[in-house]
Amino acid sequence: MAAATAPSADLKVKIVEPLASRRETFFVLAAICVIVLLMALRFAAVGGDDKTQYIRPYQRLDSILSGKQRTLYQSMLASTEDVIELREREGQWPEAALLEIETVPPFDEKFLPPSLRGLTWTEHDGNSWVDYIGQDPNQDDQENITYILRVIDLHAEYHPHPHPGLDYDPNQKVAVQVWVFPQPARPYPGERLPEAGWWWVVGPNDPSLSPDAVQTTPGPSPNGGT
Amino acid sequence: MKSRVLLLIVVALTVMIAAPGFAADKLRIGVTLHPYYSWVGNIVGDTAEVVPVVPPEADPHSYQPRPQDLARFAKLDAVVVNGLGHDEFIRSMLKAADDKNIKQINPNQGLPLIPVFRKVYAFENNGNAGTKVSYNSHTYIAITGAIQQINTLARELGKLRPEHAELYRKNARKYAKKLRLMLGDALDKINELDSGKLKIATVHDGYAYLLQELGVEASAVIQPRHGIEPSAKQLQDTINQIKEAGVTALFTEMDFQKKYVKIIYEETGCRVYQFTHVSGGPYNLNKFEADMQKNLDAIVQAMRDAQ
Repeated sequence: MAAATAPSADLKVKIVEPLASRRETFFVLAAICVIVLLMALRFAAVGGDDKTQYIRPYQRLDSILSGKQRTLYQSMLASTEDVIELREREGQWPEAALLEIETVPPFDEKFLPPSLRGLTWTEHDGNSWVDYIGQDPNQDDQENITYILRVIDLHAEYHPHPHPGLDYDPNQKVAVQVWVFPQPARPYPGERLPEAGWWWVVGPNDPSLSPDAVQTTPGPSPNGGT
Repeated sequence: MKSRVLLLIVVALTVMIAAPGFAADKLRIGVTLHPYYSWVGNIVGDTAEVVPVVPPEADPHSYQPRPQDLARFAKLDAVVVNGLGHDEFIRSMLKAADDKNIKQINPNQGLPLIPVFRKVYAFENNGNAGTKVSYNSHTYIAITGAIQQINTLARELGKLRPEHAELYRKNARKYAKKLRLMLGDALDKINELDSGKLKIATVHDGYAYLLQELGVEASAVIQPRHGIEPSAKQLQDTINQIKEAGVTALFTEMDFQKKYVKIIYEETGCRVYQFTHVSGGPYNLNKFEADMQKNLDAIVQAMRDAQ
C-alpha cells in the first residue's frame, strides 16, 4: 500500500483507467466473435450437402403410409426389374396375371404377409408405359388405399409426365413410380394421375426430391423432335 | 533395327495397359458392410473385384480407419455406402482419398425408410410430439429391401461398366429370385400359425425392416443403438413395459450381454431368441443369405413356440 501511494524513484506505477478496461473487454469480445465466426464458417464448409428437398404438390412422402402399406409399396418398387425383363421377353408389358405366374410380389400374394393380401391387380397398357392398379374389393376397410405401379419407357417418343429421370437418358431406360389414392377400390383414372388427385409416393431420400430430378414436361427427342 | 523393334514393343505394351477395357483393368468396388459384399459379389461375378473397406470384425459405428485401409481405399473405382449413418467412417476415408475419384453408390436411394423414434415404444401410443426423428439405417436386414437395393446396385454398376450392364441385371434378378424364395418359404410357415399369439421385443431397432415385411410388429426395443448399454432405470422400464405389453418373445443379438437377457427373462418369463446382424465373420458371397435364413428361422420358431 505504501509502495502504491509513495513509489520509489525506480518503480513505475501505471494506473489502469476505466476506459482502457472497457477497451480490453471490447477486444476480448471481438476476438471471441471472430473465433465463433471462423468456427461457423468451418462447419459450413465441411457441413455436407444441401439437404433441401423439393416435394411437388402431387408428391407425398412415404410416411403417409402405415407400416404394412409401406411393405406393399416397397414390394411394388422391387418388382420393377421383373416387369422390364418380362417386357423384353414377351415384347409387350406383362399382364398382372403373368407376373403372378412368374411369382413376382405383390402380384403373387404368397410373398406378402396375410394382412396385405386381398388386392386385385389389373394392368392398363399405354404402349410406352404400363399401370398396374391394385384395388381392394373390401371397400368397408377405411384403412385401405388404391395403388398404381407405373412403369414408363423413357426412350419412347410419347409417355406420361411427370416422372423421375430424364427423357432419352442413355443411362436409364425406364422410370418407376408408385401412386396412391386414399380410398379402396378407386377406379382407374387414366394417364393424368396428378389431375385426378392421385399422389406420387416417394421415400425421404428419393432422388426425385432434388430440384431437377422430376421431368414434368416432354423433353427433346434424340431425333430433334419433342 | 533391334532397338526399333524393342521400342515398338514397349510402346504397344504401354498403349495396351493404359487403354480402358484392358483385361487387367477390373473394376474395384469397395463395400462398407458385409451384406454389400454378398450383394455386389453376386451381381458382378468375376467381372470385378469386391473389396471390403474395413476388417471383418470391425464395428462400423466406431471404426477408425488405419493407414493400410486408406491405402487400399485409394485404389477403388467405386464404393457402396449405407449413407444413413451406419458407416460414418467412410466420410473421413473419402476425404483422405479425394472423393472425386471414387464413385459413391448408395443402394438406399429411393428406398422406403422406417423412422426411428428414440425412447418411444410402439405400445406407449403417446404420439411423436417432441421426439427426435431419424431414419433406421438397417435397411440391409430385410429381403424385399435387399432386392430393391440389389437392383439399384446392378443399375449403378452397369453405368460404370456398360459392357457388363446386361449381365449385372440378369445376375441381380437371379439372386433376387433366390432371396424371394427364402422370404416366401418363411411366410408360408408363418401363415399357418396364429401371429396374434406372438408379441415381440428386440434388443435394438435394427430388425424393424425384417419384421415389417413379415407382418410382425415389435412391441418394445430395449437397446436403441449399438454399443449403448441400457441403464438400470431403462432396464426396469423395459421390464415393466414388456410385462404391460405382454411380450412373449425377446429377440437378442449374438453379442448382447447375457446378464441383461437373464434379468429380463427372470423378470418377465418371455422366451429368448437370437437375431444376427449380418455382420462380423469373414466376408463371403453367401453370408447375407445364410444369416438372413437364421433370422427367418428364429422368427418362425418363436411363432411356433407361441402357439
